[in-house]
Amino acid sequence: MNWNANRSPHADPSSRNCLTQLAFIFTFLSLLASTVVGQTQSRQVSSPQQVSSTSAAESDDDDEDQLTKDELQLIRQFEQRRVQAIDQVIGSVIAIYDDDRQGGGSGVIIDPSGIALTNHHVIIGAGIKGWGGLADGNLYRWKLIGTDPGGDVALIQMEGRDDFPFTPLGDSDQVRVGDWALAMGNPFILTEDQAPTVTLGIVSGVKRYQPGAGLNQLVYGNCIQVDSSINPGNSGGPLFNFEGRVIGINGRGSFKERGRVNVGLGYAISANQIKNFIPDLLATKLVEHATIDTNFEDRGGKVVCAQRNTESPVAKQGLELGDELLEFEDIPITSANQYTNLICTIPEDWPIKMKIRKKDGSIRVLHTRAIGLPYARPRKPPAGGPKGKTPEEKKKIQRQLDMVNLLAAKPGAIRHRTINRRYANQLWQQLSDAMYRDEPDQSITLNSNLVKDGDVIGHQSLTLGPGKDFQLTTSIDEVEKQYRFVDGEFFRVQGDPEDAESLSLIEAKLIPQVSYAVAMQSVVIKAPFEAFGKPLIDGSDKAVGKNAYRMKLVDEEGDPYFVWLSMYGNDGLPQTRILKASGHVDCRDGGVRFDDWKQVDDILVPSSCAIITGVGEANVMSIIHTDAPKIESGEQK
Amino acid sequence: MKRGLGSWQACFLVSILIVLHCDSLAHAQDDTATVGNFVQKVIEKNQSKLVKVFGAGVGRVEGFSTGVLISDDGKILTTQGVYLDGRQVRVVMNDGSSHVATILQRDRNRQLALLKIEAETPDFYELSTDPVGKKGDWVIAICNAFRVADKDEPISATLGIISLRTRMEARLTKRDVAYTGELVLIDAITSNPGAAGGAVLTADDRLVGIVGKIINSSETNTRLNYAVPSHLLADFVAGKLVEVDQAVETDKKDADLGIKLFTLGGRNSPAYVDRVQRGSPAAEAKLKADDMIISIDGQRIGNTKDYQTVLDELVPNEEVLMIVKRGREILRIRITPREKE
Repeated sequence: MNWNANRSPHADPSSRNCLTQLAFIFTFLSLLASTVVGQTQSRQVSSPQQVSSTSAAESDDDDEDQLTKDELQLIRQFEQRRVQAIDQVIGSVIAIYDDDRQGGGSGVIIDPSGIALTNHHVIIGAGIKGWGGLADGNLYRWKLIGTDPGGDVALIQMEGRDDFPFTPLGDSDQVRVGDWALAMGNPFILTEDQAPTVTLGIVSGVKRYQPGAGLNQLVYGNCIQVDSSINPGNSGGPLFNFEGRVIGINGRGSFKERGRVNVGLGYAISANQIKNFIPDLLATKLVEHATIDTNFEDRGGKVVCAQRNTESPVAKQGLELGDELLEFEDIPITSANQYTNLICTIPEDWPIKMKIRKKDGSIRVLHTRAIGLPYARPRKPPAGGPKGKTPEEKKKIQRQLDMVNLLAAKPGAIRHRTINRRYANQLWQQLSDAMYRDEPDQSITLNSNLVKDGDVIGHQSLTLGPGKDFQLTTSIDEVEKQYRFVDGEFFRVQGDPEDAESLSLIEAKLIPQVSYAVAMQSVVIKAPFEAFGKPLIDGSDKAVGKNAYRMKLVDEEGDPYFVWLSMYGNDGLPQTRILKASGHVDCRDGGVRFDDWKQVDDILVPSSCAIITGVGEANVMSIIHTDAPKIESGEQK
Repeated sequence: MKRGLGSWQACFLVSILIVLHCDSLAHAQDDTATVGNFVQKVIEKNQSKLVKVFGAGVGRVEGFSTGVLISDDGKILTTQGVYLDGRQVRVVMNDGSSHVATILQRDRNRQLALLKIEAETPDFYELSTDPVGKKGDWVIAICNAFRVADKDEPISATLGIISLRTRMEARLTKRDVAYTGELVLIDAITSNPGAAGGAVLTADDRLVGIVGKIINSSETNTRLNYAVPSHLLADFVAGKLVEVDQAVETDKKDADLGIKLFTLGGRNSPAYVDRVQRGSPAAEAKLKADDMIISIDGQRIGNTKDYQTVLDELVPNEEVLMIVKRGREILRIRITPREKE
């Protein structure tokens, strides 16, 4: 074979088309032959050599009798699933352009309101606002909400509709090597009508690590490697499976020696990493990634702490040099690389759980919050007066300034309170929609046992409403305490009912029992607890082992209150429920944890909850409902 | 190596059917999710038969490759290269354990090397002495391109089809190709640093061959993705490739015309003949001193450097057309280069 002679079809597009057509025709001709190959191979799978000789001898004359109807059906179903997955996703893929409709990147809408994902490196090129083309042929405005330079993810808001086609994020932990993987986007800015390009391949590797650039930027940890073609312009577009779920955001390839074209190794940021960052991004932050200021290394089959900053949060918790890391976030650790891979996928301030073995052999579990890995501060673009500048030049300078301001923002800080507030209100609306009726004109009573270490140690009774008032009575070891909320004020009663003691807001917030009552009341009145303030998204967090939006409510005195809302239900679909509530971000004086909710008649009640303490949510006592909620008419107070 | 949409569909059908029958999935009809599983199964089953090979990096040449186990006593087939000439060759197994390897055999034409480690390797490939796989069959290539996998991490997999089974002709210039003989062209992209030596497998888990060393066209910057077929590997391991080697070695000899050029003006001066060696092809073709060489085999010769470049590409005993300027005349001369001694 003369290899060089083969260049011509590649160089000449028309002859390539011709080849494709030929291939097409050939396909249909050879379809029958190929089906035969399959059967022959399978029947004689034990003697492979015979297979090739037999199948080679088959000719086009064989008919499709060899294929049963059921098999044909199955093949069609399978083909159909691929087509369906593409149909489902195609509408949500964005061709991202800058404000002058130039440049190119990709993105994907993950929520009907137009919340979309792309790469950080795409918005670095495109700026903080621009145009996004969808397969419907329309261009929509987008603006940047939050960005994660460390993980190369940016969250943008598409504008102009409230019913955008969208593709939900899937569970990337379920992705296996060899799975089919489809990529969509706008490689080489090919599209004229905004419709994306689709490429198909397989997952080549999972849990891959690709080092970053600059100071802690663009690190791909625990990412998905695919052989689906990923080319320049695909950046920010979705990698999705046959179920039509986004399993990753395509961002880079192994472009080492042959220029920036696909060489069969593309990398996507995993959907599960992105889920960890979404609350931070919606909170309009410039997000940093987590660190615990500690290095581990492989030593004789163990992963051992080799370096640590004595000021680091884990050191303060008792991690010492030489301690062996057994588990990180409940995942058994077998190598230092694996640990590095995992910590890359979580944001700063994340509640980290580590199991370590001390040198004396004792095993300890550490709970702490991670700190942030800093980025290099951007340099200001050269200053120059507006004199003598054309409008284009001014625009360019403005865009550079916008980007500098973005990257110079204080990491982890809310950049736009109004935008944040809007998303926070949307979340609370979703919570309310899922919960109770419109107007609570009846009172609801929930009776529970308080259980510690399997023993019933007391009882509790909560009566909510009507209106916004509630009353919680707890009785532990014959000591009865009552918490009342009447006309916007908290009271505590101990002993004589006439001896009601007025509580300040801050006092009330720090009592876990009150948190339980307030959380339940918020559910019933379908609104955040007014006295505690209006909600803001405080950032990404984990509660009850799930991804959570940490909401922060600040009262008139400036004291905070925190409510953790779930992002997804057990089925992986978006679901907003209260997971945890406390007056302190780390539940230092206690808080309440709602493991699960269930629908009883027309009220959602926690099917399992507990009073907890600390970042590790250590159980103080469980609250176990003894009967169904009693609903009575409003007069019987 | 682009593929048409149509051939994809055909591939799908083939593969699905293979799966259908192999796994008796016919009764699991609604479970289309399992249809894609043949790839997963092959990839998982083969990891324990593959190793990562680390040698010495020299300049821009990467110091790593992939290897396949071919015996239960630690014999490994991989690709030949200068990376094996370093102080030590290290082999990392699927479980992350590291072993020092010795080099048993090398073949510079098929770019193969046989290594051995002192370890028991219960999972290995039997090398088929007959060709495995034919045009249009699915193939799964498992290779450690770009050294993405480290230690005990699984090696990357990529999917494609066999495009062609063919022979590499010796007439290709040696700058481009360091491979001679039969090969299996595939459309999975495997011509990446570190990929050579990886396994190329059919959908029903038979070894087609191992990923060949990068062949890059300097003109188009395109690459050939191919496997060295299993039967050649078997021959190599059995020591049967030697004779072919010598024959090929002869083919690969440099060409000589018996011309000495004026070199006083440096490499950029026009290619004037200074002397014609007696009895040489140039003498037979009646070239004379002071002739200026204008082109050889259709390639323009602007200076002595061009002449050397073109000469390097000539194949001994193959006639080419040479155009020379003698005085005011332009002459077309047929000349057959001989082997350089």
